[in-house]
Amino acid sequence: MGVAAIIYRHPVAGFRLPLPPDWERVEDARPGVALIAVEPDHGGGFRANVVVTAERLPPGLDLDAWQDGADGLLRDALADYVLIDRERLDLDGRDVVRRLAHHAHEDTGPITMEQWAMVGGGLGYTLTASVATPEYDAAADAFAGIAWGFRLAGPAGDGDTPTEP
Amino acid sequence: MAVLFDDRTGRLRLDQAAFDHLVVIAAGLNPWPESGGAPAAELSAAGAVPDGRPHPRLSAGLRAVIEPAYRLHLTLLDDRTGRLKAGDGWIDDGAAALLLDLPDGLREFVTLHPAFLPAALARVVRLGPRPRPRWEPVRLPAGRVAGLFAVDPAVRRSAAADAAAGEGETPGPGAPPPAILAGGWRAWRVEMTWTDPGGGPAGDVLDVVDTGDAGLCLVELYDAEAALWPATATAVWRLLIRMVSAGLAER
Repeated sequence: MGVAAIIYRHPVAGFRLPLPPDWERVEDARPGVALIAVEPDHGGGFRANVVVTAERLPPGLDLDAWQDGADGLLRDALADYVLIDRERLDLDGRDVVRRLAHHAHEDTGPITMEQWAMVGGGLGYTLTASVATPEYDAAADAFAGIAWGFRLAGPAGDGDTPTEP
Repeated sequence: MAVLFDDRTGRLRLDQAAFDHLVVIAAGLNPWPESGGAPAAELSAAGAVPDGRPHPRLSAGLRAVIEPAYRLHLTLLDDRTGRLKAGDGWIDDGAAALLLDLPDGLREFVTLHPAFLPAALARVVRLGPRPRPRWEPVRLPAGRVAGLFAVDPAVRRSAAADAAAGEGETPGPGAPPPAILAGGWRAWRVEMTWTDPGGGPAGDVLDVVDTGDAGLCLVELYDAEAALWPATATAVWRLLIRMVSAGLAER
């Protein structure tokens, strides 16, 4: 996986992030899924990817409560799910919950998934980076670089005014 | 003696003697049914050895046992339960086989793809979110490390106290917090061994003390010294993946 080298800006959702220049990108593939970026096809196997979702949060639902619920949803929805790590971080002045987990799918084999979730403008944003588990050690620093370069519009960021995708 | 086999999942529970017998059968060294005997009869009755050959669900794992690319040994000491758990593993390009202690004295034989091995180990040692440690690495004589993995809880707590205090000095602000001494911690070791391309022995080891509320700590051994390094679960996950990948790459 290459070093992130371009800055991608979503046209309406108000976020930007660094991505490897040769990754394929699909915007707004379906409601709530603002961006799917996938590494080039390397001749088989699971392709590392980054997905950014945005969802309207119910009034009063804060980051921790939202992510506590997400823990349960992931555990129920993903096969062979193992939560490896979860921590609260500060990303450019914005509270972030970072999660590292393993899951599996019969078509893809074992996957390591790293997520960064944050709230801005009443929306809950989740950046999910996934890679075949044997490749995670090699991909982890690149994933961290993408996540640390992720910026939202709003008081803690400097992007455009966000619109729900 | 008991042999329990689920032919749907391939999970097999048995004692060590029955497992040893199963390996002999798989290696073709003890043709069925002439060898007979209690273990053979139990394996047959459970469906693990139908028609004199290991069940197809067991074949890939048994091939790894007979001719492994590398071997794995796991020990887990749980201070909260006072239990010592051990596991053995055999890995080749196509399969990883684990033989893990069960609470009832039996062992469980599981076959999986090698890519699933880190997750399987993470489940066994209960790797999961822990507070990020806020203390600095601690050096201690290598001889004290054995105490951290002693079966006797009193010896383990004494070794942890020594580690927290450093070389007989008063713990400074960077020392592990008292929580590391409070009990309720778990120590585990994953050791992998293989033969290097030159035919010599090679290996790698990962020693982790899981202090619960005080976080995770890596134990690294040098010649005469050891060090305790604060670590996150993410770092330990990466090390597990690296170990599994290295063992196959070094063939």
